[in-house]
Amino acid sequence: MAFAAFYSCNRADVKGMFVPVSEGVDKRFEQSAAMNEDLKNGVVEAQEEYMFYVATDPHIHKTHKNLDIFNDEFRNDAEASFGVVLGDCIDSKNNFPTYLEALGFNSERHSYDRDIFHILGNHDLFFNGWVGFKEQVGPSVYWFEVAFPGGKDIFISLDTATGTLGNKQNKWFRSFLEENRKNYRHCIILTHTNFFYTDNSQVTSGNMPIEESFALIDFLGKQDVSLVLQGHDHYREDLTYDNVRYTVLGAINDHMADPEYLKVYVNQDDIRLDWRSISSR
Amino acid sequence: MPTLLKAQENDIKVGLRAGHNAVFGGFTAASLETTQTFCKDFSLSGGVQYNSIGKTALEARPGYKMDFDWGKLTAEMLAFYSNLSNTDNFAAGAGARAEIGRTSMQLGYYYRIYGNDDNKLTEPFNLYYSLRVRLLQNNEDWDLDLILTNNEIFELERHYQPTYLAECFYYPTDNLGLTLGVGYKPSGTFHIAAGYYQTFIKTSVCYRW
Repeated sequence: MAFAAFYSCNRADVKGMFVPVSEGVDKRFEQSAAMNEDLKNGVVEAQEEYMFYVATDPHIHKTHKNLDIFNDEFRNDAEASFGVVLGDCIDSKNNFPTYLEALGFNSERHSYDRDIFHILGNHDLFFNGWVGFKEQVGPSVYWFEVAFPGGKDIFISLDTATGTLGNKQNKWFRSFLEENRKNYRHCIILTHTNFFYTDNSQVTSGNMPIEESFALIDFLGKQDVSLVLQGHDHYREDLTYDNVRYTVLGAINDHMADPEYLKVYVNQDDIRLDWRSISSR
Repeated sequence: MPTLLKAQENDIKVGLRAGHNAVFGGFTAASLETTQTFCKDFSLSGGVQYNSIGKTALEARPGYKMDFDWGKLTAEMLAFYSNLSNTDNFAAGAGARAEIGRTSMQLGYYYRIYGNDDNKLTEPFNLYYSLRVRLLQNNEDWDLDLILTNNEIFELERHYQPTYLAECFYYPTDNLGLTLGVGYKPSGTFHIAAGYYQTFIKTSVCYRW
């Protein structure tokens, strides 16, 4: 009965868990490429040492109390350069307007109107959600630079919402990074689906097929990637493999017992993570 | 993986497969597999495969078969190793498979450790399973099975990453078997969002005695 109610209110797309309900990752890559020339999605101006905010899995249905806290703290923090949300933005059909409104700039409440970069998550695809995401939120595959005096860092958003990079994104990602990594101080990957299965917090939460994971982690190590920021699992994880730091954030949705977000401090030699619990607010 | 092969105690099989993978592109693979039975109820199955994506895999499954009124139950152990992209992937497990009429069910638990010289990671909880249904009536010459599994031979996936197979067996003589199968492996089932990952065809020639 509870499941029927859950399904009928446009939250659980059971069909989408077993068969594709949105366009495949190759199509999403092509459409993302058509939105931005060379998939470049902007430049953020910053200092050599800068900080950005990260949250994940808000799963917006009706309430967004925790996301409001994140947004208020981000938009009133003079140090923050930009924000990132790592996917599963919504948890009910066509709810992107509510999500975007929750993350909007309000001149009465906020001091700094700064960019937030959005990553596509699996829940965003349910009920053919890609149509709404690409039209209202933006592309799923893109990169942007953080430029500072004397250098720049690169951030790459990968589309892992169907648990694989697919053929076209994989080819582009590999050739792009091989060609361009040398031009940047740090390379930071933003992805929804986490690469490793080190805890059993959600039993079937899912990762990529294991052979794809092996190929990816080998490649990221060879490319000297600095940090991979991931969501999806709702459970914090922070490990280093082949000198690449892989960090999964806990979810920020209103049903979490200990919702959190992250402030990431970047400088020449180091990337420091400052975990921020919301449950005490 | 349970086979429901007709009653022969030993076999040796040469297999080939070709397919398309969303990430690696087109691939081919060659394998050598065998089952040897000792003292009637003990068996050892295993083999080695090379896949053109750069993967080498080995596995071995010792088993002990018990007959019951309702069918057969085989207790088995699993040892698995593969190497791909400079990553060693070891797994060890134990489970059982039951054959009841035209259905074979397998369930087991395995522990995985993977990494390279400098890094090692383990996984907390993994099940391996298969459900095989003989679709067409078992007769003297051929059979057709439908299979759902996460441990299709030389692939040992997490429990939420199944492969779907249809496999046909043809036995022109008592000692010769031919198989032909097609498989589909999606990404993101159960809890992500489903997408295409891999399709393949596989064939093998089997000598049995």
